[in-house]
Amino acid sequence: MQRKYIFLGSLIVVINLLVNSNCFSQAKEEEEEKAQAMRQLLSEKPRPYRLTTDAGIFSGYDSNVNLSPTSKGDMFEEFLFSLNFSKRWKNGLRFNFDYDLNDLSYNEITDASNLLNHLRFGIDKEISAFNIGIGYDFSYFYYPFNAEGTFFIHKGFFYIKNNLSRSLYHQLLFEAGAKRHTERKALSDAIGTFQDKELTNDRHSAEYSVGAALSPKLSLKFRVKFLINDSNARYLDFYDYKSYEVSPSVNYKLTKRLELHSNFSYLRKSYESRQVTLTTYKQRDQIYSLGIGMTYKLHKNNTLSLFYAYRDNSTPESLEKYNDHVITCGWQHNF
Amino acid sequence: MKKILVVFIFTLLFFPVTIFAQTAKIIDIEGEVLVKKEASLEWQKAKIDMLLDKQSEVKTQEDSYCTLAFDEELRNILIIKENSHIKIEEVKPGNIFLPEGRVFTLIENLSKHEQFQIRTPTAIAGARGTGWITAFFDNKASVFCFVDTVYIQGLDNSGKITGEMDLPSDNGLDIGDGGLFGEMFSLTDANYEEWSDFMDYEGDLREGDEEEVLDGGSLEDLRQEQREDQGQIGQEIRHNDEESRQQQQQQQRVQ
Repeated sequence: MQRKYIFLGSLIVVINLLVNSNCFSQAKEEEEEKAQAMRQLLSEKPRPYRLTTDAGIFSGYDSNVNLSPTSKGDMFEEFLFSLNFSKRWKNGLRFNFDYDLNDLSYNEITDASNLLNHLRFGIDKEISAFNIGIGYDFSYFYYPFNAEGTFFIHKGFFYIKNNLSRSLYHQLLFEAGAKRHTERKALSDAIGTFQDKELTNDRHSAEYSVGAALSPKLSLKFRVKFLINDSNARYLDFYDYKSYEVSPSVNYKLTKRLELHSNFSYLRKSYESRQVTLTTYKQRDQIYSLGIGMTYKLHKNNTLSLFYAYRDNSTPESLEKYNDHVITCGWQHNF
Repeated sequence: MKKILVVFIFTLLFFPVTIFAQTAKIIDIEGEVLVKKEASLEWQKAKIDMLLDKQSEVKTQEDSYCTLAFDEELRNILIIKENSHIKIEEVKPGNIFLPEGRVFTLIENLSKHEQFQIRTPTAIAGARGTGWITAFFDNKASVFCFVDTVYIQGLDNSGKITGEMDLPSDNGLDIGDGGLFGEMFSLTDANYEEWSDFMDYEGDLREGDEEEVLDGGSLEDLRQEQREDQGQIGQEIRHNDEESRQQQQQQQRVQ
């Protein structure tokens, strides 16, 4: 009797293998090449790669440009150019490249004006429902009117993304790198005294995010990030901290053209040695951020936007308490 | 009996592709789209990831569309455009009945002996691998072939084949009442533009959320980083000023 069941089970397995022989085809590579050839044939504009470019101009008001207890506000103008390139290689590999140029100019507080050059590239591969990627990210912030402000950040990253369905994914992202100033010196053993070396911060972070398209109109994202910052500033290890950040965001398509965006973030920074002034307990900052806005698609390639952002540093250190309001409006073109 | 069931369930779990291969899946929706899974059931609102079997029907309203995938790799897809109605007569191989409306079809991955067909009251259009548009309005079918060849069969009122021909790429054909073939015509710029938009859309579906993949370096995060850094110089100055002030106060007390 048992032999009968084993034989029956084996028969079912064999029939399935025969029926679905496509799935286990030895010539999977041949199929991939055939499909690639068919794709080229089918497209009137052959697309061996994907390239998108965007440019935008924005203007707004920032109520606390330097994020200080004594708020000083200023108007600003911003220019943005973005380029995204993606190309599929053999064996399921894909190469991605992203470049951004972002110029931010303040009208009166010109020391804060800066130009950002950002590039990010990597390769990823789909393995079943997982997407695994690795890459490098470089950002250079140039302050034309404040040499001490200029710095760059470079980091390597690795991620694993799991597409649970077409509308749900979760991802784990690891980054390791450094933030380095080009002229600003690191604090020495006392405040107001400096070392010969430039200020450097070594950074390591881990981030877990979940994204879901609950309906064709509503999408949610939830992110948790843990970061360790280790700087070479000696006075009270001034910039050494561990931080935890939680940030949910919601996007909703009100109409075909009008989309609403909102995000909230809670960031908790625990400093290693820095103490609150005139006390003996360590400083812990709690930074709350809220952003709401909307984008309106004039037509296929042109989008108008309006955003409001609020940021508040709730800290026991009165020298660093601040809040900030930023309103931005702009126009973006995709070509 | 129990053991047969266990083996059967094990087979189904171990070969999930078996399920997908025998159903179509809704992968995208815009606007109002209704679905009827069986003739005896009511129309219900369509949802993304819904699986549709043989005899399922899909109806789209004004300014709406629905995209069906017939395989996991999204190489065989069908878009049901606005004000259209289709019935899935077979999933594998694909056999769709279009009594009204317009569908865009892109077929890239069928096995040797399979064909994908769109049947209207007056014609059948099908292929093994190509892209085409099929429409049926006012008792007339129209087929637009963009690449390779689509075969077309005319149908009379009783469903009998009245004639057959291959429609080459860059051409269109109307098939009227009783399966009468009209004159072949060249595709217009408007036809190509629409097809090009469809290919871009299809590319987006396959490429997925690439922006999410690169999200770790988003501009927003970088700008937050820059704002915080900007605040740091001010922090050092304020702490330095505060310490100097305290030292002065101490000196004054001593004096």
